[in-house]
Amino acid sequence: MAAEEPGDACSSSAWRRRQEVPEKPNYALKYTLVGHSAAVSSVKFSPDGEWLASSSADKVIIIWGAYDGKYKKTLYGHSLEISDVAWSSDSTCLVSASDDKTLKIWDVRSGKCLRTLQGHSDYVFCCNFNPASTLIVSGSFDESVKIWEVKTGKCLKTLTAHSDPVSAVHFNSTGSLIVSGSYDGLCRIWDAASGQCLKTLAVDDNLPVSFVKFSPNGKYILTSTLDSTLRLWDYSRGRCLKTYTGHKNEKYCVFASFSVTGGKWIVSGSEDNLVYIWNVQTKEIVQKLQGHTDVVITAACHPTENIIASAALENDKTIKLWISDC
Amino acid sequence: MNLELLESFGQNYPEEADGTLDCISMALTCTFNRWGTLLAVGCNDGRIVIWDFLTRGIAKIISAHIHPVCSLCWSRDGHKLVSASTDNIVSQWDVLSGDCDQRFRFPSPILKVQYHPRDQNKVLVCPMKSAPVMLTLSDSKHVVLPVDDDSDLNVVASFDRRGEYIYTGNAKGKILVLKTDSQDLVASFRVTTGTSNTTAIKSIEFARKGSCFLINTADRIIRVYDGREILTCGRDGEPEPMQKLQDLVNRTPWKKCCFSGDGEYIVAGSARQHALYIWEKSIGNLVKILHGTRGELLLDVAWHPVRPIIASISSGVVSIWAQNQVENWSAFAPDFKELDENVEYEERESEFDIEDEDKSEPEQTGADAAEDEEVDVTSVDPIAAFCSSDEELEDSKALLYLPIAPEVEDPEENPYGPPPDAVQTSLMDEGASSEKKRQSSADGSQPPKKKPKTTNIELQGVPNDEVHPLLGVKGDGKSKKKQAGRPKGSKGKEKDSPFKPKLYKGDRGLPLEGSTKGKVQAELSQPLTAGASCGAGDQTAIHVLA
Repeated sequence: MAAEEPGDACSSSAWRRRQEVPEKPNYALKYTLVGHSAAVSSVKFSPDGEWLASSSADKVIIIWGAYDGKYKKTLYGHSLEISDVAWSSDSTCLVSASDDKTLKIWDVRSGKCLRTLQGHSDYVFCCNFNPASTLIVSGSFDESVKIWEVKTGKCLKTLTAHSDPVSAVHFNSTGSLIVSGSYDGLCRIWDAASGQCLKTLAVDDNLPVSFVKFSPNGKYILTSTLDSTLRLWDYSRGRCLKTYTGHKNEKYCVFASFSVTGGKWIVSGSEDNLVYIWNVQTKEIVQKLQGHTDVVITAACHPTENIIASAALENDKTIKLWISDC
Repeated sequence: MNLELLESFGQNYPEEADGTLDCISMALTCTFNRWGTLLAVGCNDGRIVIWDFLTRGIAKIISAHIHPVCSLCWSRDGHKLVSASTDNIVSQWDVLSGDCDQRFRFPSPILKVQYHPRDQNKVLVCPMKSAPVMLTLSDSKHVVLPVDDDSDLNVVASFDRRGEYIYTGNAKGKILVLKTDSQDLVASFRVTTGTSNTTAIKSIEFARKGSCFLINTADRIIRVYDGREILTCGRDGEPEPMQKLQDLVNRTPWKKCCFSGDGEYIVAGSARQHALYIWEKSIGNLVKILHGTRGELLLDVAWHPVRPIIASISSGVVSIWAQNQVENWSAFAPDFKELDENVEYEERESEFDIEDEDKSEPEQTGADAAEDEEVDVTSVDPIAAFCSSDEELEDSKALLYLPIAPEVEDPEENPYGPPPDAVQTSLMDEGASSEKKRQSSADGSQPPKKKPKTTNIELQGVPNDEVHPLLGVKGDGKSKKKQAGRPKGSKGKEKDSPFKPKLYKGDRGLPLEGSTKGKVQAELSQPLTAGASCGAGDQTAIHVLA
C-alpha cells in the first residue's frame, strides 16, 4: 500500500460534524533518522514540540530536532537496554526505564543524569511523568507500579498492581489518575494521590495487554492487546466503545497514540512493518505508512503539528518522521 | 479530576492522623490554595513555606518578612499570596518568582488579610483597634469600612463566598452586612446569648460552597447561619441560626473554625487543648473528635478544599489528618459489585438446561450501537469540584503547581560515558528552587530586583502601640517587652497552659524567634541572635492566647 495519498483526499467533505473534517490524512515520509546501533524501543515528542527523544536497546537515548530531524545529543548512563523514555511537562527533563532495573532522570540541556531511581527488582518497562512533573510512575516486570517523587528520587508508593509484567503506565491529563496495563490481561485505574485501585477493566482474560493510555481529555482509555486489536474504552462504565483492527500485533508491546492535531486518528505501529492510522469514529484504516524494514514498535504524534514519528527494531534501527497536511 | 466518576465525591471527614509537615521554621498559620494542591504556611521567622501537597514536600520558601507571619491568603488564580506580619506590614507576593509586589504599612497589628474571592485587586485587612480596611492594590488606595459603634473597635470582617458582601462583627455581637462596592449597609443583626447578653464576635468564616457561614463568639458557641436568610431579614433583623454548635461538657472555647470543602462539615479547633471537633452541618451532631499531642495548643486549622483532609498547626508543626485508606477490594475485579445487603437470587427457567432450546439469536445490535457512538477524545469537561456555580470555565492560567527541579545527586561513576569529544554544558539547576540555595541567600530572590512599592496606611484614631496577640499582650502599652505574669487575653479565655515551643536552632545563619521567659513558661529556651528578629533588640515571646 502506497504511503502517499493523492492530494485531494484531504478536501473537506461534509462529515458528521459541522466543521471541516478531513477524510484521510496524507502522511508522507519526510526524514529518516539514523543513529541507533540496536533496536529502537520508544520515541516521544517533547511537550513544547521542539525535540524528539528516542530510547534504544543500545543503552542510549538520542535527542533529535522534531522539525528537521537533526541529531542533537546522546544521553549515556544506562548499563542495559532502555525500554521507555518520557518527557517532563516543561520539556527540560527526561525519565528513562531500563532493563538494569533503574530509572534515570536526565537534564536535557546538559545531557547529564540527575538522578537514578532504584527500587524495582526486575526490568523496568514503562515510565511517565505526571502533568505537574512532580511525580514519575513506572511499571516493571516485577509486577508492580511505583510512584516516585521527582525532587528527591524517593519512591513514594508501590502498588501491587498486577500478577504479570506491567507493560504500560500513564497519568491522565489532570494527574489524578494512573492507568496500568499488564500481561495478565487487566487494566487498572489508580488514584494517584492515595494509590488506591479505583477500577479494573478485564480487557481480555487470556490476552496480555501490551499498551494502554488515556485519551487527551482523560475520559477514555486506549488499550492494545496481543490479538492485533486496539480498543477504546469508556472506563467509568467499563464499556468498550470502539475496536480498531487490521494491523498485526501478537508479539511485541507496540505503542499507539492519539493524533488530534488535524483529524482525529489513532496511530499505531505494527509487526508487518507498517504504521497504521485509523479514524477514531469510523474505525476505518485511513492510511498505512510504508518504509520500515522491521517491526514498527512505536509511533508518536507531535503535540501541535501533523507529524508522526515511528521507529522499528533491529533490522531497521531507524526513526522516520512523517508529515501530513491534515 | 475524573475521580468524580469513580469515587463518590461526597466528602467525608478525616478520621486519623496522617503525618506532619516539618520544616526548620515554626509554623503559625496555614492556608490551602483554591485546588488544595499547595499549602502555604506562615512561620514565626517571617518565612512563607509552600508545600506541595501531593508529594508532601516543600515546593518553595519565600523569605517574606522579618517578623512572624500571622495571616496568609491565596489569590483565586493561585499566582499571588498576601501576607501580614506582626510588625504591621501587609505584603503581596508573586508565588512563582518569590518577589514582593507591594507592601502596606499599617499603624496597628493585623489580625486577618483576605483577598476578594473574585477580584484579586481588592484585599480586606482587619487591623486591631480599627475598623476593617479594604485595599485596592492597583492604586494603593484604601477604604475604611463603616462600623456600628465607634467606641468599640475590635472588629473582625470577612468577604462572603462571592465577594458581593462584607460581613463585619464587633465585640458587642453586632454583625453588619455591607455591600462590597458601595459599603452600604444592607443587613444587620445582633448575636445574643441566652439571657440577651451580647457576646464578642471572634471570627466569621464562610463555606466554599453554598451560602452558609459560621460565627465564632466569645460565649463558646458556634452559630451557623444561611447568608440568604440574613439578607432577607435586612437591617436590625433577627435571623435564627441554623445550628448552634458547642461542647457542653467541657465548655470548650474555640480557637479557629472552618467548613469542609463542600460545606457539609464544620471543624473547630479547641483553644484549650490539641483537639479538633467535627460536626455535620445539616444535623448539628458531633461526628468526630481528633486528638493531637497532649499539652500542645492549636494555632490554626484549615480544611482541604476538595479532599477530606485537615491541616492543623500546633507547636510550630503542621499536622495532617486524613481518612484511613481502606483498599477497595472490589475494584480489583472487573465485574465485582459490592452489595449493601443480601439479594435473593432468582433462578431462570433455563438455568440448568444443558441446551437452551428457547434461546433466540444473541442480541448483536446492542454492541454495535455502542460502537457507533461518537467519542470525543479531546474536549475537557470542567471539574465540578473546582467550579463555582456562577462561573462557566476554569481559569486556564491558574497556577496549580510549582515547578520542581530534581535535586542532583552526587556524580556517579559512568563507565558508559560519552566519547571524549562530547561537550558537557553546565547543569541547569542554577535557578532551581533547591532549598539549599534559598536558605543561603537572605532574600530568596535574585539581586537585581525592583523595589516593591511601600504604602503607609494612615488610619484615624488607631493607637500605634498595640502588640499583636501572637507576640504578647499590651500591658503597659509602651514597649514590646513581653509581660511577666498572666497575660490578659482580650477575648477572655482560660488559664494559661504552659506553652513550650519546640525550638529549632537557627539553621544556616537565619535568626529564629522563640525565647520564652516568665512564670508562665516552664523551660527556658535559647535566646536568639540579635538584630534581625525584633526591632529594638528585645526578646519577644510567643504566647498563645485563646
